[in-house]
Amino acid sequence: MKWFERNSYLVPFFAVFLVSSLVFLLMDMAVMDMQGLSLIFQL
Amino acid sequence: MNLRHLRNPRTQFKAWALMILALGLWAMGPGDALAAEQAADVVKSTPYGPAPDLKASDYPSIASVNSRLTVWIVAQLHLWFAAFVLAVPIFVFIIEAIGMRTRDKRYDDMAYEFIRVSITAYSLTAIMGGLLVFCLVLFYPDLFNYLAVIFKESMFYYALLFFAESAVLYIYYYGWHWLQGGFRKWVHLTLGLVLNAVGTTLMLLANAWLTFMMSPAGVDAAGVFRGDAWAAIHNFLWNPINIHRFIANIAYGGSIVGAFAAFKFLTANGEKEKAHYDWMGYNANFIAISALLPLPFAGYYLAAEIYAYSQQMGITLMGGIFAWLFIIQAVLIGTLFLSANYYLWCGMGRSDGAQRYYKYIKYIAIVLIGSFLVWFTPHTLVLTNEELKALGGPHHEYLGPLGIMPAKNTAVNLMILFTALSFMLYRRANKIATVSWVKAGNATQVALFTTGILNIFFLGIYHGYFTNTVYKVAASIPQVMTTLIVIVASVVIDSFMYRRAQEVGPLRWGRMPERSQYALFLLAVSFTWLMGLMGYIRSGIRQHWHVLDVMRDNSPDAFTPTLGYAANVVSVAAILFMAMVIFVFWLSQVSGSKTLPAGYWKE
Repeated sequence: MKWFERNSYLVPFFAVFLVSSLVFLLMDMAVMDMQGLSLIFQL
Repeated sequence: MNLRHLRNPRTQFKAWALMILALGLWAMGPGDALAAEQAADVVKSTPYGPAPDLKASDYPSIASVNSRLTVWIVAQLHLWFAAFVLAVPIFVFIIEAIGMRTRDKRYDDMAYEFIRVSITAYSLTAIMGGLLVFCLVLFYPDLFNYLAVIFKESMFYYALLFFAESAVLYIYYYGWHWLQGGFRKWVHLTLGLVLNAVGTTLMLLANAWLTFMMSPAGVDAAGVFRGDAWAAIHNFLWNPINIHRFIANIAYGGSIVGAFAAFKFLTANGEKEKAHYDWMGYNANFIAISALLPLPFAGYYLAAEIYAYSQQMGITLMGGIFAWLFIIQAVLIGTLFLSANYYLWCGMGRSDGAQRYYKYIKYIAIVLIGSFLVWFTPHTLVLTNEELKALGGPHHEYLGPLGIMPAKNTAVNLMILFTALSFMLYRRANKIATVSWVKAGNATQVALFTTGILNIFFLGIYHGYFTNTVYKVAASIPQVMTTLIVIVASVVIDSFMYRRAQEVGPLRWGRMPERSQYALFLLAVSFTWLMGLMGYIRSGIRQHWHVLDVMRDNSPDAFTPTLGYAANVVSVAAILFMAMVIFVFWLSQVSGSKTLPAGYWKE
């Protein structure tokens, strides 16, 4: 029961963590690209 | 005639060269003269002259009054009042609309009370504005003449618009109780909209004059006006200032009415009055915070545009003499965030269900204070030669890196995120969610905040310390976007999660410690001080120009004063303003009181 209760928090937490990390990464790349730059520094 | 020498190639070449030269001279001669004639016609036909080249003796001196100081203080006083009277109609309009939607009369009464405070302030705005025009005409007649020639139409319409502004404001205020119910209420609301439109137009017109002085347009290098008033109005820095001032006015107006509510709370008679002004203070703080959150981004955009227009102004602004004033700015804005959050934390005590969330407050406080410390860490220190040698350079070895913009952008984004979190906890304090997915909802929000914070740190640290300047500045945009995404997403999730939520109990409006009201006073005072400081910086980066690169300031006061002097002037002006605001609050107090003198009047 405790496992289930813990999972009802941790599973959504990690799922959203992964999805939102990806979303933020894509957003970063898009916004930097709009400014003519890449996300990773290139001289 | 012996023409055999013409067969000589050298002779032929010289002949051809002479012919071409002759042809060229013939072609240029009349064309050149024509162009010169046309140019002379253009010069003769323009009614505008170049910007005047003034000497120190051209500036009038009246009764040993320091012209620069006088105009500085009067302009600042006018601007503080103007910001207030332009902001109040914005949120009064919104509050009145909310009242109409919810049919909750408390909103209508509060909106009326806000506009009542601003009526007296409106008179003071006009007085200061009139005084400012007098001072400009008396102390800087040539500058004012030059600007008045270029902006003659906008100044004329500006003056006329005050008739509209006054008429609409007076009908809006005095007709408040007359225009009640049904169609009349819609008429009243429309008047509020018209008031805002007129007020915003006034601000846009006045903004054009001062931004022209920083980024002149529609004039040539000598300052000769080309005749296009719109070009002069729509100069480079016009819209950045418009955006920044529009948002800042709302935040500022909220803080002033918050101070009014705090004043009335502390002097309230009875629990009912206390509850009313406590609720008003909460709403005012909410308005101030809502506008405060996007404000740093509007300010950063303004600074970026100043830099884009003139690198010299930009560097003076943040890399030169005024850089240390931005450390003072950091202290004041940090104070704003801390006092706004403190007020929210005290406000949680209105609900009996807030106990659940008290344990999180200390972590929010730690983040806010840590960010505050980073924000006001300077980069280049003010040092004596001995200190410089002891330190090994102008920057501190470990804290110096915290003095550059990426660290500050990271800090401010965190402060904004955690202020939004304080607000969300405040909202939750009196609610118990009844949806089945509460845990998942909370987990989602925690995950969003975690990834958002990690992203902000990544952008700030990686792009701030491992790339070049272009990347550093560019990375501030995704940082802002991250903060906005996290706040909006969390608020949306919260709104769904707390649908049909159980109330812990009725909110006990009025159950607030008195120290919380001083947080509202601190908000108003810090905002005022901050605006004064920023106004000085914006004006001061022009340095020895009345109109940048066009009209030189050759007055006796054309020098950048010491930072201490400037800070003192701003402080004195802020004290003057606060005294006038206390006068306004006192007037609202006496206007509501009645003395019944026994035996004075004839029976």
